[in-house]
Amino acid sequence: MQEFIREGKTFPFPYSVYQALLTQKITGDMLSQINQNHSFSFYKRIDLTTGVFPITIIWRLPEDYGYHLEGLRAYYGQGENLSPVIYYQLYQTNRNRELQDNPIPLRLITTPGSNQLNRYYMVRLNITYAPAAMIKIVIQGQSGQNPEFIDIMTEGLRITREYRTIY
Amino acid sequence: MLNPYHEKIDISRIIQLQNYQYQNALYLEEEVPASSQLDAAVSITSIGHFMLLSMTGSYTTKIADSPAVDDNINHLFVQLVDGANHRELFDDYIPANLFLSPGREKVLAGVDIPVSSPLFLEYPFIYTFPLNGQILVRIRNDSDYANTLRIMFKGIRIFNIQRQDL
Repeated sequence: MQEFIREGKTFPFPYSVYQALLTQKITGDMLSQINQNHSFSFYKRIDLTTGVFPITIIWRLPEDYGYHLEGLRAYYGQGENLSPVIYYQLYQTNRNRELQDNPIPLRLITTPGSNQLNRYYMVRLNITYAPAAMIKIVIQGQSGQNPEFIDIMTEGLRITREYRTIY
Repeated sequence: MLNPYHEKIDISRIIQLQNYQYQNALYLEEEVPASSQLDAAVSITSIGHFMLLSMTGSYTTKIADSPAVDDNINHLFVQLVDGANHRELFDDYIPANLFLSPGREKVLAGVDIPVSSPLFLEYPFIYTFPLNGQILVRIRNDSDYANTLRIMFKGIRIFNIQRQDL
């Protein structure tokens, strides 16, 4: 990944882009860079009806782009009246690294969580995955006390190797 | 936002810059028939490129019955695509309730479920759609009743580079 960064692959504008809008003229180079490194979201629905744990989720990155993970969003299916005990543990496979010392309840880092709440707060993550790495999440739960499924998606930036231009 | 303590507010400079770039919002509203999917699109037009920065949106949650029932559970799944080159920006169809706020719209009277929380938290998403392209929104509805999706795409309109020389 270090080499990847040394190649000059940088992330797009920060959200102060609104500020930049008023002080800086957006050039063709900036546009191209944003087209090269742009937001991208992964998604999976995990069936919990089998009651068999752990469940491993893997998003495998291709050779031509890395990914900067900024957050997770999750929703616990039809279980709004339950208190599901779902834990997750995040791994960064390109460094063969556990990113948490223990499984952490999923509801501690994501909302909306339950169906009724419709709140969209999220703990911010800041993890960069190299091309060809895997974003791996292991889900733990307790049999018989779970909703039917979990929807889980990522927020983050896709960082392409290929330099694209829109012109 | 401009920080008046750190930035000099140069009105003439800002006015000049607005000849090239300005804040812009694009709107999509689409009713998806029961148990079907469709492609909706917002045209970027020839005005200029559109740098998307964030989205807000809402959706209905009706299911078939007689009369219709609002079950308060999301039935719409969305995949965002750059229509100019068909680059998928979501790897799959993502449930609308995962990324859109304010979220569910209560559209049927007398339904014994609460109105969704009126929180407007933008879903940050940075991507530049080129001029004459389109924001392609693939939508799937798994309900036996038609449901409506509304999305505001908020960003910056950037004139075609050639226009700056006019």
